Amino acid sequence: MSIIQVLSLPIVELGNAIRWWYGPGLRWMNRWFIRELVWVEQREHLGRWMANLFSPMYGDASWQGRMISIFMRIIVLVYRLVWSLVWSVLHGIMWLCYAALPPLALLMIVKRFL
Amino acid sequence: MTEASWSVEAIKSSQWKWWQLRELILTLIDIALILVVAAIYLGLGALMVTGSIPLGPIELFAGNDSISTVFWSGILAVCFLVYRFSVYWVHDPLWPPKRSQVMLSHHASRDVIRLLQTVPAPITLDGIWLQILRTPAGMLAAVRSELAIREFQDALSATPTQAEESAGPWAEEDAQRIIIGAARHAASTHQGKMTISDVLWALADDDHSAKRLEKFPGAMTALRLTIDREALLENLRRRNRHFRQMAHWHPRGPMNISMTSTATPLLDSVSIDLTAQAIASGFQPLMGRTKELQELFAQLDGHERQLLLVGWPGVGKTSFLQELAQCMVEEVVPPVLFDRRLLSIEPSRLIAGATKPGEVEYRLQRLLFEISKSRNIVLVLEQIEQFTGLGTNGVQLDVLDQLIRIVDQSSLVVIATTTPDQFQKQLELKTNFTTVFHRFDLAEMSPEGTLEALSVHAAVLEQRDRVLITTPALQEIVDGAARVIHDQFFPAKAVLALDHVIGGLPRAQSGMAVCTKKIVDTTLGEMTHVPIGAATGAERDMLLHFETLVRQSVVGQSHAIDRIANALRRARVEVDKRSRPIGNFLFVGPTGVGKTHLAKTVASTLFGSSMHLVRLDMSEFQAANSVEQFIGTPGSGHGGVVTEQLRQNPYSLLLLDELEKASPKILTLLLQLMDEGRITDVTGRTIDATNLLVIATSNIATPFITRAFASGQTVDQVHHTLVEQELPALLPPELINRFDDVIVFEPLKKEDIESIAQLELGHLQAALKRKGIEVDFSPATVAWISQLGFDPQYGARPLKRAIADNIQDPLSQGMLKGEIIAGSHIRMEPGARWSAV
Repeated sequence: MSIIQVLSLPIVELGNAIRWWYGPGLRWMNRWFIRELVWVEQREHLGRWMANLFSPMYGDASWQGRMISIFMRIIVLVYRLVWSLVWSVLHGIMWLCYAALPPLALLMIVKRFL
Repeated sequence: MTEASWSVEAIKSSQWKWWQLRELILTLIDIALILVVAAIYLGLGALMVTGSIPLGPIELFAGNDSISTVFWSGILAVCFLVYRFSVYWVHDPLWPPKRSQVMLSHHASRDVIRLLQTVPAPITLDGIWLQILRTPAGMLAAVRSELAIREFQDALSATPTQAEESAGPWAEEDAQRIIIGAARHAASTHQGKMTISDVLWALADDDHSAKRLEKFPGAMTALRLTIDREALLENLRRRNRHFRQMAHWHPRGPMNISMTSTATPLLDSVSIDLTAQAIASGFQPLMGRTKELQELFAQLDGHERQLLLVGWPGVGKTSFLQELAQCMVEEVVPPVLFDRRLLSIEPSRLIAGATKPGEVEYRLQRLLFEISKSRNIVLVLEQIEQFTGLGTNGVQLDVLDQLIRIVDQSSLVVIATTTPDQFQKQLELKTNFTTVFHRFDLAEMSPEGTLEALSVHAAVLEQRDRVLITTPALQEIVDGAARVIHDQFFPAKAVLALDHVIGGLPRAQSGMAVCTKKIVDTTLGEMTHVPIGAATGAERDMLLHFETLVRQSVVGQSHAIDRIANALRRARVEVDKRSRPIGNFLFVGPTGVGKTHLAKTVASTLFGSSMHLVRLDMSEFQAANSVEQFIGTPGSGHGGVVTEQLRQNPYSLLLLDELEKASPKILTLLLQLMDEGRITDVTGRTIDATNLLVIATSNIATPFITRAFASGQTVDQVHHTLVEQELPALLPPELINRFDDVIVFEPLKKEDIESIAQLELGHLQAALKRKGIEVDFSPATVAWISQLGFDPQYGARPLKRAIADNIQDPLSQGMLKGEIIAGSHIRMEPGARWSAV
């Protein structure tokens, strides 16, 4: 074991880190992001709510029931849509941060010395 | 040397210390970075809060000062720490292993690295085996596989290490292959770092490794099954986590996701909500039915809305429906089942409290209304035949007819269940039933599927009852149940057998118990009265010396004894898969030659008592209605005298005396018994006959046999003519074909009678000796009594009478008169005289 080996260790590990970050790490993040998108749809069922926009709620098919139903469904749909969007955007930002932060940080540091 | 191969090598060899130093340096860097990052962001935060520095997005991105540089340097450090944490702790396929190289630092868990460190260099296959058996996971797997750990360790220690030419510097080629195999298995199954279980899997999967276990029969298979069992349970645990997550968000109560359904108060009061039950507590996962479940989905998706699950009791119809409910909660179902409730109607609740005429009909109409309005109901009608003839206030209602009519007019999704016999008896003939319901057969589960189902059930029992159930025990339950329990179906019969075995387990003081293959053999044997598992001790000796033991009581008939002994041995060690009785033999010969005597001797030798001899005098089954006596009277609700005896004694000798006298109908029943190894009684219950030894005796063709032997023909010649010409004219040829052998009994000669007389007198001597009286029979006496008892027409039958009249009578008179008392020693003389010695 030589001193060169010891000294070069952080550099070798840094190389490994970069290789991992945009290799298996990014693949893992991609899968995580897609999983979260699927999960938000599974939880909020946006497609199902949209398809049933004009179906009366609680089986009340009277015209009053239908009116209330459409009104309520729009409110719930908007709420779910906003919640899904927030959830997705939040996760999208996290994905973006993962992908962009290291080069951005490097760029900002390098910029200081230019 | 590449980085990857260096990582492998680092585990052993001179570079191991360097590898340790590397780990230490990197850990120190990690700690330093954590401190630096904490200092950076705590410092920046403090400066920001105190207002000493302006730190907003503009400063961070557009700023050009040292504060911004520190902030971004901290971000880089955090990224590096994320990498370090992921590589060492998070179980993910970070670096998929290559074909021939693994980086232990990336692919092995700490346990595996520790394991490899403790194996002496160079790492060998035996070294890994020895060391893995010292780890908790390895030891548990070995115990579960019933591997004799100490003996195996001794065998491995005794094996000289053979260094191979291609051996690497740190590990032999075999050992390297195991490690790479384990890493690849980890990546392909649980996508994590290789664990001790993965190394065990690789050891069990490798041919060279398997050779180490050659001396331990069945150990390798058991080990493989144990590892599969663990993997199966791990998968189920993962599935359960996902299920709980889905169940948490699934709607409870009658309302569906899109809120289109309505309240169903009546339906809720007469049914069980299987989806709600699944959400609340979950059901035991169903194994081995994936194909059937997919078929069911395909049929429902293909616009078949009403299905009838047809399967025998115990094949898992209820579990199938429970699994369906779980799939509905997990939302892995076709659109027709998506976002619906699975409700099982209870017929008793449907009619409960209905006092007025037409009330049940009204309820049905209401039910239909609720279901059609709610539009999120999948109806389950378990044991649909129960809906016929429901009684209320003495009025029998055929609810089923009304249900069929309702279902026919609607597009309701209905899943009903029934058994094949009920389908045939009650449903098939109903108007419209088969056009409304599409039959979906649920066959008996395969033994492989049953083993999986049993593994899941065993996991539940292990946790609940504090037992450890070994894999060979589970396998033996499946094999044993398949062999000896024929009136029930998989998986229920295996599950019931396991419950029975666990219920009777001897427990240690700590309350723990271990269920092994041997215990299963014993308990199942006691439960079914059929010996299971390898023959040991006295039973093995008896089977090995069966001929000798029988010949102690039987004179001659060597061919018959040999054939029976061979059949018994074959059956006991299960060299072939039988679906017939152990043996079917027909003894033919004149009266009194010992046919029945031989059968009785076989029974007493084999079973040790006459308890297992089912003797039927076929002259009692001559009448046309004797079938009822045999298999039961229709409508009586219970089986016949014979079928009940066979059901209670599945492992016995069935002696059919004077077969030729039975009615043709009885002979037809016997055909099925002898050919298929089973018989069905009048209640529809199948009685297993695969553990029966069937011996039929007959005096048929006696004139021919007597003439043939008198004319000097050999046994073989007589046998040939008898089977080819004489018997087919007297017995149905198909019946003769069912016998494994027709054994011809030769008329007894004078010498045979003398031997039999010696045997009988020997028995008498033994009986008197128990009373303290010693009797001697001189050769002259034996010859004299043989002469008296010899009758060519009746064989040995008169001999017993001769002994009774001429020996037993004078002796009993002497005993009564007090002339022969305990301690007397007498000699019997020809002429029915006795004298004191």
